[in-house]
Amino acid sequence: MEEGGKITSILRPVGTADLIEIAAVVIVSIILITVLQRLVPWLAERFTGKKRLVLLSSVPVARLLIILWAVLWILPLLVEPSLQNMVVVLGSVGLAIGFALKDYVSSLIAGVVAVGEQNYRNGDWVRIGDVYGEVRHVGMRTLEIVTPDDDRVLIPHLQLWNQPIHNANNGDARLQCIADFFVHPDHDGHAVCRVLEDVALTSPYLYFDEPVAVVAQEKPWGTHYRIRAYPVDSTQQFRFVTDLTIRGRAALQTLGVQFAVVPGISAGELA
Amino acid sequence: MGSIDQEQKKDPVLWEFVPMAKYQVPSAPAQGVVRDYWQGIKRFFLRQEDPLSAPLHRERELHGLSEIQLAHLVPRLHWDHALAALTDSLHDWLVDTDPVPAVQFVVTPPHVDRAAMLVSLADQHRAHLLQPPGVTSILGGDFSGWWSAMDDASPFWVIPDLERYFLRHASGLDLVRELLNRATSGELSRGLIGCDSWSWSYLRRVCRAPLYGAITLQAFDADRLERLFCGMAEVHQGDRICFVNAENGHNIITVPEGSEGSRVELQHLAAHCRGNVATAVTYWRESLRSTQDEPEPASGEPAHSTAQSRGDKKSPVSHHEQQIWVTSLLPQQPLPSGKDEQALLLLHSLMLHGGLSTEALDVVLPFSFNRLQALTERMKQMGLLESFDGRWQVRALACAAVRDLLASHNYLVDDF
Repeated sequence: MEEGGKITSILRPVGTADLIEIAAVVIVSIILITVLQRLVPWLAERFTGKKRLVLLSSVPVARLLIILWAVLWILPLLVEPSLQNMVVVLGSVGLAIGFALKDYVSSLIAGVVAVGEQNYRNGDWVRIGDVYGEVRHVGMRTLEIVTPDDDRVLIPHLQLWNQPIHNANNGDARLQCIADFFVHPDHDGHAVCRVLEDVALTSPYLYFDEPVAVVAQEKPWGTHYRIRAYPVDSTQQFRFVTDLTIRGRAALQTLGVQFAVVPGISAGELA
Repeated sequence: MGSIDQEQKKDPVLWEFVPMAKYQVPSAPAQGVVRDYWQGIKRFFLRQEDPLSAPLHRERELHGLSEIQLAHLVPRLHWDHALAALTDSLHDWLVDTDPVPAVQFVVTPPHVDRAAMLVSLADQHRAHLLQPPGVTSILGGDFSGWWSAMDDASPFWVIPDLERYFLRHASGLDLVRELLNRATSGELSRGLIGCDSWSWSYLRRVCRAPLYGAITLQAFDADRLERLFCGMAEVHQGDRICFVNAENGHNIITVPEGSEGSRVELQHLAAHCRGNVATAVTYWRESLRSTQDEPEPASGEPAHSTAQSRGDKKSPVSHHEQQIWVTSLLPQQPLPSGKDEQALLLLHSLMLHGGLSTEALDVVLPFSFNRLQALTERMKQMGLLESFDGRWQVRALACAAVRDLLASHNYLVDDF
């Protein structure tokens, strides 16, 4: 009886007006969040570059604030706002949730941390594990990525705790692209570097305010060349790499360069 | 006939060549900035059909002027005065027996007829005019014939159009690089090289030669445009020509007096064209209209009686005053949507090269020939492109809008 009395003293008597107020706050919050999640991406599509990315990345932050506002509004209506009561309530809630929804909460908290640390934002191209794609939505629990194959991948934020996050552009409109070439050992390295640099400088997708670099690395089977350059927009990255690869191959063939190949293995050798 | 030729021959400051760093892009008046911003907001929030797939529609409110009328009011630009300014700017260099640097660069924005100026200058100073190799030669890599012609061109040679000496292709830069390397290292005799501003911007980034010291035609701000337009219009002694804004009745220019008050329309025009006199004159020509009952400009014919019988509310017309209406000085140019990447690549290629043939476009662009042909035809119908001398180029009336479109999508643009 005494415990029952303590519990009722924590909770406030909730009248009809309070219920209506709570419902109104919940409904308003849902409406605000829905409008925000539709309006801001639509508005962002009218911009390009950095402005688009800033708008998109503001959505999860704004949603978090709306939810926080709703919780702070509703809680005093349900719980007598004394320090003791708040400690009891929050402690009980935390204990229950902690056991039952450990990973879920971990993801929620990781989501808050991710938003706060800006590990990834809407519009970023990230690699988490084997998944590479563009961040389309930073949800409360999961991160939505669309891969180059147009696959939608949902990754729980708790991956953040123990997986490295590779962010290719980190909020910038551009990201570095790499085109690889594997060349037979017998060739003129200087000539290859010059030709590949020209291939990059003559690409219609090239962004000129970032540097172009050709990197060579010696391998047992030959030389691995990489063109590192930036396209005008991150959405062009695959077409840019394709353009560099096709024209690079053509230019190297014109130069008389042979490409390194993997020697074929006959069926007899496998047996 | 007694017409007064008021071309600004006696005022050299109208045409002036300056180092590129001193090129002053005219600034837009505040209301122009607000209007452009509002149009930008409308573009974002109002659903607009992609012009590349939309049907075309044109309409005119007033009647365009005949070629004869235009020849009297806005004749085709003659570049003699610009040539005189160029010669004046290069005077010391031209008379020096051992000039340093040996090679001078002249860079101008699109549609400024730099080639005509340099050809005339070459003629005046008995310089050898060098012809560019063809596209096949540029890509082929054998320039021995061209270099022989260069060696024979001493002691003074002129290249009016450096943009014809390269192609944006891995094999298309060798000649222009070698030429610029030799030019900047002092290996060549006295020479004058003209180049389009977009090509110059590109070549500065892809060539390894230090390209400094280029000169350019100073920007035409509202003041210069007013003087130029006043000087171009033929007006008889005692007559006046009033160029009136058809939207608000504002008197833009009165020839021969000049503007009467704010020159906001000319400021808009100068800012929109970024000081490019050739495109500004084209806009001016295209915007002139008359009403059908206005008599043709003829000597001694008073126009005021017609105006008064119409009950015009404007200020009393003089005995010999002609009114020319200026409508849509900066008409909105339909542009491809920013999502059509191939259209942007095509426009960018054309601007970088100062125009290209379809075959050359096929070399520099990464999409099919069929798609290229379809795009060029459609853009021609939209009024963006025109075919000139076997090459596609961006029309003068579309240059400013295309530049803004490309710059907003972070493509390389010129330095003006």
